[in-house]
Amino acid sequence: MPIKLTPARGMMSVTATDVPAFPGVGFGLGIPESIGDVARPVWFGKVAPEWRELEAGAWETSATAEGELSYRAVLTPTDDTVEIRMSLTNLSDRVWDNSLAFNCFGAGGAPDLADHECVRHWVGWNGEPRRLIEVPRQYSPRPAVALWSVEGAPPGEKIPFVGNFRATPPGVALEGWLAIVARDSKRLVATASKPTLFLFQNMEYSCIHASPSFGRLEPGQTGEAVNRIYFVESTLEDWHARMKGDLG
Amino acid sequence: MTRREWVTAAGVGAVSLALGAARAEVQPVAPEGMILIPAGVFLMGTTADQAEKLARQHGYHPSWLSGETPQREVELPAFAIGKYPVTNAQFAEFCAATGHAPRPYWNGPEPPERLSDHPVAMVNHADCTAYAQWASKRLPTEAEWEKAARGTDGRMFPWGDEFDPDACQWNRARAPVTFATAPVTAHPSGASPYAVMDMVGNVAEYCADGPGPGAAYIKGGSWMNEEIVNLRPAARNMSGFANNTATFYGFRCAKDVV
Repeated sequence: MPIKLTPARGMMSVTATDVPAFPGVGFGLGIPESIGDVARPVWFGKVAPEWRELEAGAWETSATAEGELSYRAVLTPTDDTVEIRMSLTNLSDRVWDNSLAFNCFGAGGAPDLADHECVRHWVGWNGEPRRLIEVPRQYSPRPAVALWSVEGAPPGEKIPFVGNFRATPPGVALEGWLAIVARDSKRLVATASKPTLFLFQNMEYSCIHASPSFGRLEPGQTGEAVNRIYFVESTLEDWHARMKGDLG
Repeated sequence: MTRREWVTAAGVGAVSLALGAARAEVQPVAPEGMILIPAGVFLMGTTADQAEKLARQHGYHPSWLSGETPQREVELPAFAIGKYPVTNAQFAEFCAATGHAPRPYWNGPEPPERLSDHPVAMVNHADCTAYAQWASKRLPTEAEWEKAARGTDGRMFPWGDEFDPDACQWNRARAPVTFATAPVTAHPSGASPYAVMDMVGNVAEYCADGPGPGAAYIKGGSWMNEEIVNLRPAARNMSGFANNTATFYGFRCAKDVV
């Protein structure tokens, strides 16, 4: 049976339940928590998206912010993933040098997973999985959050959305995924995107983000990206190999 | 004499002077339920060497502790601080008197009896400030909070330099309940040098000030914390958005004394 998705009608959020690897747990997903031009994104609550149920537990959501953007996302669950295929159209008269979807994956409601101290958060750094607390961070005016540059994407400090937080360690570039390993070390959740603009984590909520990037969008232009959420029974190493196969 | 020894000696000296001066002038008195923290210098924050050592011991990159370095001497006037965090019962009195919203986990206007003497949680900076104003008090600054927690000598924890797992409510994230707070009197061995209680663990506490706009220092760690690094009075990693509520955020009050 695929993971059950229950959208919050009119909201940019959906709950994932009936997750085989985490029985009885509901996971909140902000799809998207923010979207659009990285210099002027449309934040959660500023549009009221429509949700339409598709076949086999999949959902489609779309919204328009007049004169700014429209987006569409198809969420397709399996028994251990939710794939989110997104498209974003620039309806403004500005050229967007870079554009994103800031998709939130909250693990704070899962006692076996919640990791408000980032000790079971893992990232890919210098070619291998590493505990996040081993990676240099940037202490900032908001110490509970940090943003992380991604290999192949512009340095975070040059992305307005990221730079505004002043929480990005310079000179550190990670792979485009973030994972939280469960206390039993046999299960994990993760978010990975292709392409990824940056990563974000918030200790207060134990939430992780791998922001899909739509790149540079001219007025009227549409970009596409995919974000995949994992809820797996696996070692980190096995999942990492699988994810590489999934997203290339 | 090291800086730590000097500050300790200065603190003792200040107390002696204050005791001598008491014959000549009226000493400040802390209101009921509060403890007087005398004026004077204390060591705030963490030295770079301490941060390096802690990071190495606990598997962190040292930059994760960079927010609390360098250690510095800070002078404060006398103030009073709550002996305990504000409890659910106390916050319920405030809600009843002012119409402030009850906490969601109470499931009604009053907290469940079993939580009456536990610290209130799921409060944000505005909730804490509103309570403090109603009580004719205020929130402590981070510096006041840290001095009340660790005294003048730069000790790592309220009770000394070694972590005592029985001195605070911590490492309860695996508890089979959403809330794992304890009564505010549950850990008497966690007393600070001034006998302020429950400064580490149970609920992390909102301070009046913050590291940036819209952010607040939230100090002391909580029942949820499993890492000793985050259960030190100097730690700042859990500080964040002032608007946020969490099941592990609470507060205590402070008050000026004359």
